[in-house]
Amino acid sequence: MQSKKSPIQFDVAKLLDIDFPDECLPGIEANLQLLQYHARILDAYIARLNTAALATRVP
Amino acid sequence: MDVTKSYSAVTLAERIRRREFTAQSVVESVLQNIDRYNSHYVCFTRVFSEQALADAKEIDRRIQSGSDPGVFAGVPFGAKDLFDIAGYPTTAGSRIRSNVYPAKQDAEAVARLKRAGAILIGTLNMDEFAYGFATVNPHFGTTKNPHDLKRLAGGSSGGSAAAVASGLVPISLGSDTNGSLRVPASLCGVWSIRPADSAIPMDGVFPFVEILDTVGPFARNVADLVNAYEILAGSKLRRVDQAPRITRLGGWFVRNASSDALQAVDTVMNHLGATTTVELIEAEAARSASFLITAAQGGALHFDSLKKQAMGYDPAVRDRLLAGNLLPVGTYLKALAFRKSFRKRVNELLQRYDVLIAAATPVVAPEIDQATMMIDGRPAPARANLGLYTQPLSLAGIPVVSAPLNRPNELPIGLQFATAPGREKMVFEMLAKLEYDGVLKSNPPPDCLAG
Repeated sequence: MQSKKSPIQFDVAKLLDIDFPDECLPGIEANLQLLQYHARILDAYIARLNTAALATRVP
Repeated sequence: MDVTKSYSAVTLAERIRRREFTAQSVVESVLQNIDRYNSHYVCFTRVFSEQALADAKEIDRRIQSGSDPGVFAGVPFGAKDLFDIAGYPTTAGSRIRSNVYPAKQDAEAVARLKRAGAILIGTLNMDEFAYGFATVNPHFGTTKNPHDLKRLAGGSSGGSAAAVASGLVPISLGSDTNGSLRVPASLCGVWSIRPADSAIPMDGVFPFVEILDTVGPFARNVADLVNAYEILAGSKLRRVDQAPRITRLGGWFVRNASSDALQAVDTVMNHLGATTTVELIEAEAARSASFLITAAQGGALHFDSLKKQAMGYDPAVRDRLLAGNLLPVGTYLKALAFRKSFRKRVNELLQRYDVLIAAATPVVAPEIDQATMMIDGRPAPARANLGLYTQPLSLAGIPVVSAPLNRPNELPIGLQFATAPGREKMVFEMLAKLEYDGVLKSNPPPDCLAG
């Protein structure tokens, strides 16, 4: 019987080529969400900075 | 008498040099205490009894023959288990490294302390591969906070901080990537310094995040910290003859602070007569950049090893490292670019001020099984957020001293004193005055075997 693969499981296996059991996936996903949260904070700061920089260039 | 609890490292060395004690008797006392207490604190992961006693006898012989073994003559110390120790595998807190080839020579920091007469007693517990703020290690156990065994010692250098706080040794070595010296120093009530980038050599230290990694000492008073720092840095600090311009960091460094953390900063600011507050508006983004760089570089470092033996890792560390390998490279590059601009911004701030003061941790030591703490009004993982105030300053690459507020019979909490490279002496002198005035102090924990 073919087991169901979550999208994250497929990507991890494909991208990393590391063999580990399914039980690792929730932990990886939780950590990815945390990294995405920090990436959003950084992006928001950079966007604010760029907006401010552009504003100073308006004639 | 419990010599390593009763005397500072400097005093102990003076008394050994004056032959009031032998180094051998000091080491014997330390070994007895480790036998008695280590199962309660879980600090030491390996103890080199025979070698330590042989080294102590050699120190005694040199003193008897009239030579001076150094500032730390006969002073026992421990090293976080990521410093190379000649003849032993460097585990970095992981079982998968317990059978790697033994190190050929001591890490340079260990060698420098030994050349100053100090005696290595053993290796100290840590989060696996230094990736954590808790020193909860599935292979070697959880290091307990000597002030309350139900609480965390902090991490990742928790074994080093707890060994000094408990009086097992007067000084120890740890490392700090995102706060791994300052967090456990705060929770265990001891002193430490994250040095400026490259101020203390990293040779022979198992890496984590190359551009953020530093190593430094723990101590129970300023004098020991300064002496250890100067030995490790390889030169005497230069004096700066001017009164320090002091400010506290507001904004991010106040948000989510407990009343303990806020009061600690208020107490010090009031005593110094300092009133200004500055906001480093990039601090939150700096913390996030630090988080992302750590995941990406840490993940890359372990990639090949994960391919071979992912299941041998601490599951919590493994999942962080695997996630780090999935981080888009564009995000990593943005974090690196941000780091450059943030360092410039902090350097500008340090043109106006000599000392930036902030709490080292938002809270006192959490209980070991406490899963969450409130961050921005929501429950968030307690352990990951212990580095809330240390991570932004790590990204700046500047020296930061962590010092304990004097609050006897209460759980400890520490403060960060950040400065520009080259102004360390100015900060140490200010802290020595605060220690002399009783504002800062490393208080001894209760004896965990009493009663």
